[in-house]
Amino acid sequence: MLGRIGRWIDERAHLSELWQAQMVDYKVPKNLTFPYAFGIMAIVAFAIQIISGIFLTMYYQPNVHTAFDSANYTIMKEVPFMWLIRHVHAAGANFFLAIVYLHIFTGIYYNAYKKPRELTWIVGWVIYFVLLVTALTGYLLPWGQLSYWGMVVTAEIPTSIDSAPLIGSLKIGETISIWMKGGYEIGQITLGRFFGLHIWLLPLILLLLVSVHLYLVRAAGISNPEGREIDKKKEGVPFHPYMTLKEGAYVMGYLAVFFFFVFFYMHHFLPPDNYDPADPFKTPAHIAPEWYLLAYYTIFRSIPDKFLGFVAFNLTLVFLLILPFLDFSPLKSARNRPLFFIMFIVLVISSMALTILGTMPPTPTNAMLGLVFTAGLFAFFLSLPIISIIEWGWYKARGGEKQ
Amino acid sequence: METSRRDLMGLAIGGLGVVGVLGVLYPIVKTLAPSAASLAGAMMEVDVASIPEGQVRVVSWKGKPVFVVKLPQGFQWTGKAKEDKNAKLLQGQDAYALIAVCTHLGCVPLWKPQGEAEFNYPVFHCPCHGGFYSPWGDNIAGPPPRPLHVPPQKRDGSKLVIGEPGFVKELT
Repeated sequence: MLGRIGRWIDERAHLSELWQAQMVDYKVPKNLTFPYAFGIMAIVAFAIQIISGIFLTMYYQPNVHTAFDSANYTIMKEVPFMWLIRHVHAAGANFFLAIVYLHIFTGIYYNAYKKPRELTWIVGWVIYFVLLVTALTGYLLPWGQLSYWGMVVTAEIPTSIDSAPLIGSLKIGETISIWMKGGYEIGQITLGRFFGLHIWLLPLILLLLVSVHLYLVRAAGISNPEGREIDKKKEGVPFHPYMTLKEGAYVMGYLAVFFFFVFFYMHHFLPPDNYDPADPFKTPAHIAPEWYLLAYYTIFRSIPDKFLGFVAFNLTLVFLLILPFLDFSPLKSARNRPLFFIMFIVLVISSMALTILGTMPPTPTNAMLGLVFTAGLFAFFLSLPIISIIEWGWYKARGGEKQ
Repeated sequence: METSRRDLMGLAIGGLGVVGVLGVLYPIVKTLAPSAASLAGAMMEVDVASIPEGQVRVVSWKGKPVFVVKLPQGFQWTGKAKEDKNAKLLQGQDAYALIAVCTHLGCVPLWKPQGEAEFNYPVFHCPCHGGFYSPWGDNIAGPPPRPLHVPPQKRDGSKLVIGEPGFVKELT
């Protein structure tokens, strides 16, 4: 009976043809390593955020007088199992960002941004940027002390432009800051606006971008850890069952780790300071951004000049965007590029150090260390053109043959 | 290459399309502009003549509480502050505005024209953790790390205009 229903649907929707074409006849390199699973994990994390978010909107009230209580009483104490949904959403945001960072570093390591995959990388960069904005807007909604003051500080960042020479007098920064808040202070208009952005506009944009990203991955084919394009007919393995089962198992492992944190280790994702309702007249003593912004924050505050700090942390984002054009070497994958590998290690250590420094108080020593690691981060990006030129030399010396 | 009617039609339709898209986007983007209520709070006019000498009035500027201080004629202050930043900034003004938010943890200080505790001259006293400020908002004692912030302001006859650069150019 079920088989007959299945056949009836299949004759009309051609699902089995689609499955055959897209999952079985689609060939991928057989030597894909574990880091290639970060993409599917990010998709799973995204799905978890959307599902948990939908249920949170049913009980959350985007009003300055009721937001805090709806998040901390209605959701955490009154509605059955909503505490779990909120834990999943709060931990899920952090895991989503963590996986995306791993995914980005994997892409850099295997040079998955090189021809013909530049567009995949650029769309991915836009996803990352929108994701940061989504996380920022969501963080304001519980209307706790950290939510409120974190956004006060974030909305002040554009005013750094006003301490620039020449253009400073135009007060562009203050204008951007006011447009972010919807006025001079963070209040009901800000909260309502952020709520709308966070639950509708930004997730829809993300869905669209993720779809385009996935299409581009398929269009260019999955990159290879060896750094060469495979002959799909001879060397590829069918995506199903090889990849589906392998990645399915990895996703199960990811979910196990994720739910361990959700049930037993939430205090970092729902920090105690945010269980105080927002008070516009009382700044918390220790205010730092969420961990996924700490590296930018350290770059920003280590540089003694406010405007230069602002330029430096934006430059980091710009460098990430133009990475495919900074690195024009014919060689792919850090496995074949000893110089690139060394600089990649510098990048990883610098990023981690900048993040750790962001959790520490702003002492002169920490500012100096911050400058050192900012230099390390920039050194990676600025060394790419030099490495590319050297590698072109090697490539030509070997007669320019394919690797 | 001669332009044909068809090219003209294409240009006209394309142009109309662009105008249409701009017409839709403009109001959508403008919804993000600051609200009228908020903009109205960007400039505050206070009639200094209506404030009794030696008294303070609290008004609102950009959503923050602001003290408007009116000093008596020939006011002499016998105290000593940790800093003199504000005193220098506001020298010679008989009326001026200070942001009424304690720089320690953001409470609103109280004006004590008769003095308070061991200070027997006019001071601002923050009841939360015992911060003391001079009438110009310079910190005297207690935990506040710095003087009260001063908003941009100018004097216009008997009016004090808060939010316009004058004898104070910008927010300190």
